[in-house]
Amino acid sequence: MNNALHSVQDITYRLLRIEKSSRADCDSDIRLAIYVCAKLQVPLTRFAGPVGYSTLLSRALALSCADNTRFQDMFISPDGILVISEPTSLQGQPISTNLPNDEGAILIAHLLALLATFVGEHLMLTLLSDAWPDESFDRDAPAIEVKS
Amino acid sequence: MSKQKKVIIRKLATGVQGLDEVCGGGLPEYSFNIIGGSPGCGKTTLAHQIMFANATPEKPALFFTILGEPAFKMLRYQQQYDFFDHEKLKSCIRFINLSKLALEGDLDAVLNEIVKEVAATSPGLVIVDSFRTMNWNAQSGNSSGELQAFVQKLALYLASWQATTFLIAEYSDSEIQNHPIFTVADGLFWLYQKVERNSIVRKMQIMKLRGQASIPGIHTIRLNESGMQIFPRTFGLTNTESHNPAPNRISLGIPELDALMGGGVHEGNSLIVSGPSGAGKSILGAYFIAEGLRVGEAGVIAVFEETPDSYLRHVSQIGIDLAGPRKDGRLQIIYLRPLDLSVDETLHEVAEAVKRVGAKRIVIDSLAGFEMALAPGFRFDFRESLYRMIRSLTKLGVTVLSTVETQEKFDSFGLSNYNISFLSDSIIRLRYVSIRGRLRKLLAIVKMRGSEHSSEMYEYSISASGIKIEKPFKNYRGLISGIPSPWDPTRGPDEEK
Repeated sequence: MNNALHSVQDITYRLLRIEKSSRADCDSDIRLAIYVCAKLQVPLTRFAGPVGYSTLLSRALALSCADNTRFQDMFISPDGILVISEPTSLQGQPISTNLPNDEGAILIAHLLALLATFVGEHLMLTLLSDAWPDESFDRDAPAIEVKS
Repeated sequence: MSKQKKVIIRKLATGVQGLDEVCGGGLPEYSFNIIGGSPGCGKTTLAHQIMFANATPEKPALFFTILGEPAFKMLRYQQQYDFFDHEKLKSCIRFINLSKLALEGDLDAVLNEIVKEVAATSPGLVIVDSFRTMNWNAQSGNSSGELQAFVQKLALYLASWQATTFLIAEYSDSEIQNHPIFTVADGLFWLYQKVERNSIVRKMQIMKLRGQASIPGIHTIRLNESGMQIFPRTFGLTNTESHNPAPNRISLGIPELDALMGGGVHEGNSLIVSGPSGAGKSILGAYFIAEGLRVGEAGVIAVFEETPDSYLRHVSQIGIDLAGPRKDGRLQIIYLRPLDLSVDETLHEVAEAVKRVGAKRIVIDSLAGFEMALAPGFRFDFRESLYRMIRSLTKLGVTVLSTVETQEKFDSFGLSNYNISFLSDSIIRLRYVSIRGRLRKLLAIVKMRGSEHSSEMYEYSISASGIKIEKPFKNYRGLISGIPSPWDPTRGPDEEK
């Protein structure tokens, strides 16, 4: 996660925790990340179209592959869904309590960083609010630093 | 039958500097408008700027992306502008992408989706970006008739839902005149972009705006960090009251010169001082402004050939102090050497300065420097724009003194290298004459509209104490050639003899 950003990381872990809280049976970081992406797909497709969402996710996946080769086992289906091509290799990873350096966080952090890069923090948080309407995303948090 | 009251159409402020004036007071509420033009001319920026100015939580804006630029890229650039208010994204503005439906060529599905979103949101403003008719027809297999029907239905529906609507469209120049879609629109805003030599010229025209007296013609546009700014051909002076010409004469600050002009220049007139380099044109302008300041009239000086500090130093050498009035705000000195500004932008700056200080006198020093400061592509419009500005200012009662450099020829008495006498009510001509191997300075009043004036040619001098009008040149013929000879050779070459 060389390019991932500190505050993006905070939001990433928060999104994973939100999904984990409603999916107690989920036993994989990667699976949680897939659920997060599925939630984001709706507002992002509405905002940027299915192609816009797919291309953004593809880029996040490519960046994740550079960080961890295990992402090479994943691809994006024509309808924009993240798919594990070899489920056995990525299933069953334990979910740690504070999620340090886990694969799922890598992917989500890259996706959020790309969003922040293109549309800015404010609109990114608005889109997150659309995906998780019951959650409040703090707009007064320090600005996200985007490193190239 | 009793006379019925007219429906009042509310006008929305566009949030674009200059556009309200061009529209005739703002955008008609609930109107259905098309913003057209070639790629890169600012259509999306214009729509965004209007959207951010008008979107509220009660009357939000919906921005539908059809076949326009990708939303990610569009917003990445749009948020660089000052008008982009992130807070409005939360509750006032929604971006909705319909590119999938559009690419499938399903116009009914696109319309249904828009209708569904509009019904759910009740927006005050709807923007649909964008229609590229040529690509659309080729890609989708739809005929232009189907597209027209789609636009008609859209217009009908959105008007009923009390939404002011903008379609952003790309059309070829040949389609502008007769495209059937344009008959549906209440407003047609056309943007142009052209590269001329080393500069980009952007312009806008309101080709149609139902129910409003928009300003005809083509207006210059500038895109900068603030967004779009429009420079109306009327220089922001549309709604100002016209000055009734009074018989007042105002002093140029040199009593002897006033006397030659029959008591001074008429207030609200345009005066041109024409002459070669070093003849004292700028100094005459400084006298004119200083005299105005002395009697309580604020002034504006637009300099193009030297910096304001240099100008102030220059005139202080003949005892004219303009630094004090500049400091206390009674005088504004504008220094414009932008090299790629249009005439209208530059003149807009001048007109704004006049309004800011309430100027009654203005000096443009010089027209040649002004023209040189413009990008080459704008120089074609120079005379016409200058005429409009001078007429706009003088209509307000502002007296304008412009200097213009002449290339001195010794076989004629040309007034300037431009055909600009139509700009002026009065012309003072300065020139050098060669007498006995010495260049002497000559001043003549060539023209004073509606007034008698001296027809003699006077010698004048410039020294540390200022300009001094001397005696008229007598006993010479050929003075206007610059190389005079004595009328009576027996009396010698000089009139003093």
